[in-house]
Amino acid sequence: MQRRNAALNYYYFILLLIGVLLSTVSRRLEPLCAVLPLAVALLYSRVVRTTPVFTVHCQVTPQRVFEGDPITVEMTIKAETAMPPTELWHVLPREATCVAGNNRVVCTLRRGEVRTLQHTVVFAQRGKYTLGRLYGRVHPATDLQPWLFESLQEQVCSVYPHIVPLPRHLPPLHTYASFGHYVSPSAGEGLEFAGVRQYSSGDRLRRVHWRTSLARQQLYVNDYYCERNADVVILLDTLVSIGTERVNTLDVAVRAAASLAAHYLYCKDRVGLINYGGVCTWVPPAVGQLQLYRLLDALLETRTHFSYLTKDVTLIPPRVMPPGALIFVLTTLLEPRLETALHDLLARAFQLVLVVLSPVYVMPNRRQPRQADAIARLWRLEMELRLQQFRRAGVPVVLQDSADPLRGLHPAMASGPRWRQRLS
Amino acid sequence: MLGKQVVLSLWLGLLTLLWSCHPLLISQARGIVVLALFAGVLAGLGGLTSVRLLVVCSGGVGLVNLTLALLLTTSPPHLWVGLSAGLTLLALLDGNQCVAYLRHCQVGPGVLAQLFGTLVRLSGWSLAAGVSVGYLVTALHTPRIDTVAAGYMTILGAAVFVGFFAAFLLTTSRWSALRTQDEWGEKGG
Repeated sequence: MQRRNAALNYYYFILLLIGVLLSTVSRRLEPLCAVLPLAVALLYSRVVRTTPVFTVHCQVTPQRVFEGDPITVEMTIKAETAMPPTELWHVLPREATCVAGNNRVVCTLRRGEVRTLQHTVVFAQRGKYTLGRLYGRVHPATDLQPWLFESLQEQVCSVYPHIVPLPRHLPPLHTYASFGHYVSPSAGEGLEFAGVRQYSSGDRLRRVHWRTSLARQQLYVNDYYCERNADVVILLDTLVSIGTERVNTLDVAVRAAASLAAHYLYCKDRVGLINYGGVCTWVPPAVGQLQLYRLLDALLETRTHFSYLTKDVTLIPPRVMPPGALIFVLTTLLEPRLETALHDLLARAFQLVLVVLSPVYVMPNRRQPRQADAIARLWRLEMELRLQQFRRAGVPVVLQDSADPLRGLHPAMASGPRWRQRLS
Repeated sequence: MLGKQVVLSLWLGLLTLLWSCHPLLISQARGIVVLALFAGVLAGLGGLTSVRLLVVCSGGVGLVNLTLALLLTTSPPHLWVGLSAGLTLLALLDGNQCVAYLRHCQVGPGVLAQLFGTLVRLSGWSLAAGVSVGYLVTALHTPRIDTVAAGYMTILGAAVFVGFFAAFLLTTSRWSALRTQDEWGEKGG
């Protein structure tokens, strides 16, 4: 804690000089009397020197949230001595919005009093943010010499991208034998009941269907359908991002990626992530809640890395892109280098689903609707032309036509010849 | 929150009005009116934009205006005029300083009362000091003394007073801290 002279000291002293000078020059008492209260205030601030003793504690809960979820910040002041008006300021990052309470509070406390001040903060954008930086100013007697203090109880909050549930499930074309939500027509290990058959050597005793066995006087066992799951890889184009710092295509793509990852992980599929940009990073496919947090943590760090060098997709190891995996490509297609990579993936018989993000929804000139409509139409025409080759190859293509880029996913996949049968 | 803003704005507006109109109680000459208006505009702008330097400038202009008004009317010495102007000036400067941070904050119970209490306490001390100075000057006044010598003594006395006061402030302040920029200003506080 440090006592500082406020700028007001200078101002008071300058006015005091002016008053004395005017009084001397004019040989009148009134100007001196007019600045006398300022002199008294200056003297008073020097004479009355109380040192407040107190402790400040800050607690931030929860520290892992999704975009738009509230974070509660509790500031607790415990006063050992009587506290004059004390200003407490919790410095918030630029992206934060205080939706309830106030992050700047002035209060007075009696000796031994404990007070908890609470406010709620919301982040509209993903990222890792540091909260818990408290600055304080104690105003003893006058505001001429306040005590300044800072309490850095930094707590890092992870704000994950907002997850929008997909309205319908979109099953992959290729699955493989493992535990999962997809039921195979062949019998095997699983949970889905298929029927009852005669016991054969090697069958487990726990599978014996006793009622049928007693009725037929022969051992019968339960049969189950084999379970399958799939590999899903989300390929995020981080070569280019359009828009402002707050609203951009990369954030839209990240939200869509998080939604897809949460959906397929819920269906017990193995989900992986590839950030395809100047610097290519990936998370190998895996299942479970832990994988979801692994992916969300990776998405938190996703940034645009422009580079004239791009990594060839053939260099990405097969454990990251297993053969036959369903690959969701989230891109603006503004960077032609990605098209080469997509052709490469198609040639390697991956199931591609192309989600093309529109820059129209992140452009700042949306105040002029006619202009925005014209831009949207031009962009759509150009994209339709460029995407013809992919449509001909049977790749479902979703052109973003609303704020949610995944809204047209199901109709686009259902219209494709290969998926139509599975989705019907 | 809105109520608090309204009360603080009204308080500052009232003080600005009182401060700028103070010289008009003594003289209503055109120059005095213009200067009073100028002081009022400066104080108002300072209050609206939270630039305290403008309020200080208003204080300076107001002091000059008050002195001019007194000189123009050649009225007899009036202790209470000076003291009331001084108390208004103190309240204006202190109020602007408080409002600068109170307008951004959630104000807890008892804060305004405590701030007001400090102002009242300072006003009491100022009144006592003003009366003492008035008595002292009256007691020291001797009509037989040479006018030139009295002038020199006044200048000398003023210089000694300012010098001692500055020395006192210097010793009780941490000038190293004074020279550094206030971090709160940088953070927008």
